[in-house]
Amino acid sequence: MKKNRIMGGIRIWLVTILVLGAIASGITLYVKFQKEKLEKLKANITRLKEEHVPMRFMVESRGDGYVVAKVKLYDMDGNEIGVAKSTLKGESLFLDFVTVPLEKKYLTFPQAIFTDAVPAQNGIALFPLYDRNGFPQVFAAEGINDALKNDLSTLFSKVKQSGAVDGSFGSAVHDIKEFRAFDVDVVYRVIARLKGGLEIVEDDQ
Amino acid sequence: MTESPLLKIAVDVSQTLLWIFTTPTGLLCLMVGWMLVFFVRFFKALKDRSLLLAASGKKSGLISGVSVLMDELVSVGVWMAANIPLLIGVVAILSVLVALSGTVAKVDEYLNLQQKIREYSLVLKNLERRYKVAKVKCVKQENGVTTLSIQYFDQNGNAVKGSQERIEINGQDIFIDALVVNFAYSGIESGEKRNLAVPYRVFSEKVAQKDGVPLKIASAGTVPFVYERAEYQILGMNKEAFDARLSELLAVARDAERARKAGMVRSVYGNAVHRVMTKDDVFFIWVEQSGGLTIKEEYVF
Repeated sequence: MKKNRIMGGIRIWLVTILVLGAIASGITLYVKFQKEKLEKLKANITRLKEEHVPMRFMVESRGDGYVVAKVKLYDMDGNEIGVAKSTLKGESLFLDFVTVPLEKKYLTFPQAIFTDAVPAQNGIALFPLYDRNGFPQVFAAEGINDALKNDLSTLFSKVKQSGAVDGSFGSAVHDIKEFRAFDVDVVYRVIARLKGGLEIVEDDQ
Repeated sequence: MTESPLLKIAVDVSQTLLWIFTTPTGLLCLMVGWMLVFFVRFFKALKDRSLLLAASGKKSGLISGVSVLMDELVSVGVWMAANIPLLIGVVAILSVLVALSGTVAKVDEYLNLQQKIREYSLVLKNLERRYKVAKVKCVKQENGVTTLSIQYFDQNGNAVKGSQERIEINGQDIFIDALVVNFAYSGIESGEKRNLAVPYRVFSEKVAQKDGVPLKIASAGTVPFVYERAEYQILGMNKEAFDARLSELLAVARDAERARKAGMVRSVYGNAVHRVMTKDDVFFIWVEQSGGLTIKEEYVF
């Protein structure tokens, strides 16, 4: 009788330990999967909020119906690759880009600067500023391989022929004088977002 | 689950047990504890033996001390042998407690992670969201003049009744200019805020922006909605919703820099998205929750 009770106790203990162990092991495996999923979600959120800055600019002076603007272009590593300075008729400064879809993201090519008084076709073209033998220097980055360089060069040649890339579109960002014109001598940066949107914010660097 | 006080105690106890039995420091503490108890017992027994020897007129010496030590060791051994089932029972209960609290901790971790996944998924969903602003169709193109039909959409993505307008402009690369307000990511991530885009003017590669065509929701030369209160129906909102949106927008627009510094908005600016159009071409303008305006095709199931 006592032996049976002992054996029963051992059995209950064993089953309890096994069941709890099995549950804990199962959950441990699932927790590992959850952690991976969470990391992916965090990475995707970070990517969406990531700032790629292809351009910084400054209004150097502003007069009666003209704007003097200085524009600097940057590669993917943040190195300055070109500068343009121009006096343009008008009050609001427009910074025009070509946005091209590539897989799940968008690439942004600086295209031109113009103003509210200058039609886009008469603006200052920016392609020559970063065209290095057909390669768009704005996408230069340390460790970039030749195959990718060739692909980007091919894409760039299509971009230069307006509208030649499926799904591409132009995006000109600017100040609105009725609300707030760009301040003189203040540096602004253009932020290109992963989903193709562009933003202008005051540069705090 | 660890919020329950009983489970919290169980987890704390099991963690202490695990620490005692599985870490070198814990094992050392356990040994020191046992030694202390043993020495207390030993010295008590030694004192008793001394008193006994003193009472019988004998002196205690090294031999009696060793004898007490041996007695105590044997006594501990006998006690342990006599209580093996009890010890086994205690070990069994402790092991169940440890396993139970370990499982509870895992379940707790699982639930916490699940909650985090839900939260981050929602954040990602809110950030990935985009809202349709307008549909632009090229209905005619003759002698370099493009005729467009523009349809606006409300906050729910429905075409606003009566908002369609037809405009003509010289040129083929059609720029739809809009005021864009990108709110701080904290508001976007929680789903409390939606970035705003209000199209107000059309121009082209040949027509400068200031010579462009003001859109229906605009009055000539101004940014539209701010002054055209009577046209609130065009946005497909009721008056209260429109007024709320308008005052929000005005507050941002009036002092964009202050709002930006206060962390309310990230950016306020103009954004003219454009595309070269030929007859029957259609494109949709979207405001992205991650920031900015885009031209993308409409997803059709």
